[in-house]
Amino acid sequence: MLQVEDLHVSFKGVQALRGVSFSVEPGEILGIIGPNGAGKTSVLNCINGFYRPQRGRIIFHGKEITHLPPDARAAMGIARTFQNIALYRGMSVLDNIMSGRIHHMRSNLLACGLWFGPAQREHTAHRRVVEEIIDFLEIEEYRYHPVADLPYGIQKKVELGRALAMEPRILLLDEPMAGMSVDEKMDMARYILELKEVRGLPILLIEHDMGVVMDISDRLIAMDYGVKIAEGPPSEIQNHPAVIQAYLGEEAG
Amino acid sequence: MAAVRPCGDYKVSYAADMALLDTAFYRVGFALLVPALAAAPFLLGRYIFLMNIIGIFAIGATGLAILTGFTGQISLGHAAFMAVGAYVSAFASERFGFAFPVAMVLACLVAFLFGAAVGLPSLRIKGLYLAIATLAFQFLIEYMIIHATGGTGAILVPPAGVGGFVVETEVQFYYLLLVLWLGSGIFAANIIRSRYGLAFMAVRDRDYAAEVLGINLLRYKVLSFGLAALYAGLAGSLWAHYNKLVTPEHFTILTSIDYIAMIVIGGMGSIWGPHLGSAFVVFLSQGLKILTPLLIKVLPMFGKIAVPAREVLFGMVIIGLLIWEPGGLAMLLRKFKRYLDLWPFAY
Repeated sequence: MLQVEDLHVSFKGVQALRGVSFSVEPGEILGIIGPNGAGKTSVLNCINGFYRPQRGRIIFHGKEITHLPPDARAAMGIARTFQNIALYRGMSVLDNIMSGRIHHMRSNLLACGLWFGPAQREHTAHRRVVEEIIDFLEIEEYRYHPVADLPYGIQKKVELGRALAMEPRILLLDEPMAGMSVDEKMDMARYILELKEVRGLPILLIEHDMGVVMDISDRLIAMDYGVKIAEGPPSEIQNHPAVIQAYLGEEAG
Repeated sequence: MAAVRPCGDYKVSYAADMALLDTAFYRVGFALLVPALAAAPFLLGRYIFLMNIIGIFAIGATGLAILTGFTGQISLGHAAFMAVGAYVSAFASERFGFAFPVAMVLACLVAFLFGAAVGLPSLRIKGLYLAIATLAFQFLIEYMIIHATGGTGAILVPPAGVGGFVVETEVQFYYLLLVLWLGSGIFAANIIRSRYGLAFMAVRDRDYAAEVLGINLLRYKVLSFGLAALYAGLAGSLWAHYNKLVTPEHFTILTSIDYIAMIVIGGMGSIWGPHLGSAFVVFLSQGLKILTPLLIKVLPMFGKIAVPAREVLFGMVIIGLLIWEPGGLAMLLRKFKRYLDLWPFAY
């Protein structure tokens, strides 16, 4: 459903990506691992449209999206979270998640300005969806809090919630568990697995915690210096000589 | 929306939870405010002209609050949009003989188009650079008006009127204004709580994250500029028909700065802010007009300082607010409400 073919991205001589190809199958969790600077986030930035690759194609549900702007790709159902939380700091948890619903709403400016009638009905209906997400992520008590004041782990949850509110067809998660406690990581892993099992949502996951990423991914891609060095089930990647070399610098043993 | 809800105020529907006046404090306050505003001419007597000025500038400042407070785009040319509205309205009614409501709507529409056009570059230029671009627009409009009208740029404008009724007195104008003031204020508040407001705030707080949510940055920035200009245009149209005379001196860079002072003092990111800020700025500048001559009479040595007293005081108030209460008067009001919620206990 998402094919990435031969991506090349370079920034003035630094080659961030040098021919990366892979595909995400329906309903799977595909993990991307690799040392710092391997180009993992660059891959996500290409998929959601922040970077325009110099070469290569990205195909989503049979449509080529390589040259679409980010907001058009979001409207097609590509949602993502960021490594460094990118919430709207001045807004409450509720408004942050609600903002994920904006592109599903149709009320025009006049209807919104008058509010009562169609606009109120529409916003109420979308509020119900948002509340379901808040229930799912167990953040009811923080509903009205401005996100800037919330603990890091909760902010990560809110960011996931905002992406889910878009009702995406694929979810790109950039280190959703970075900096979390063990409990919070377990919670987050549970949410990710539930999204896959219950909603059948395909997920592309970048994560540095090897224990977690090996446990929850169906398949893994290992990257180093902008190229894919290995692909396969977690058990295989774990013992892949190229992966071990990328992480440890030389052959183990 | 406050993080802490007062005891016993339970919401039983999402619609009630999204209400503008979400607590009893605001509901009671608004229920008292509207009759007080309606009765203002009887309470203020000949000082009702103050309310007319406050109302007109509050409408204009509401536009800037949408643009700067909620969408995070700085504009130093807000008075220029007001000028566009004022002159379109003046030309439409004076030269072409349109009725006041038609001229007013026309002023709003033309101002909206001007705003959208000025907003176009905002996709690429941000922050201070955008401020400079809007500053250029300010001077461009002043220049254009002087050259389009020839000489002083002053035009006589017929008084406002609806149907056969002509608004002649301050009090009559006040009631016309009050309807538009309340209407446009509520309209803006509704926009802010709707999907448009969410998108504006998303653009303000983190534009790239907004893009990832499917928010077209250009579309919403242009829309925000257009709305801001529409409100300024409405204010300009009212100003023209209120003074029955427009001159470019009413819409200089100083007025643009006054608008910024209004939304900063009133409270950025609050829908009450522009109204409170407008009231504060108008009271302060009108008050100083009375106080300054008195002060010079009593203490002649202050003569030199007293002339720019208005600017000095504005500066001091803004600096003081930025240090102690960046949320402005609206935040002070909210804190007062929190205090009442808990009174007589400390927490």
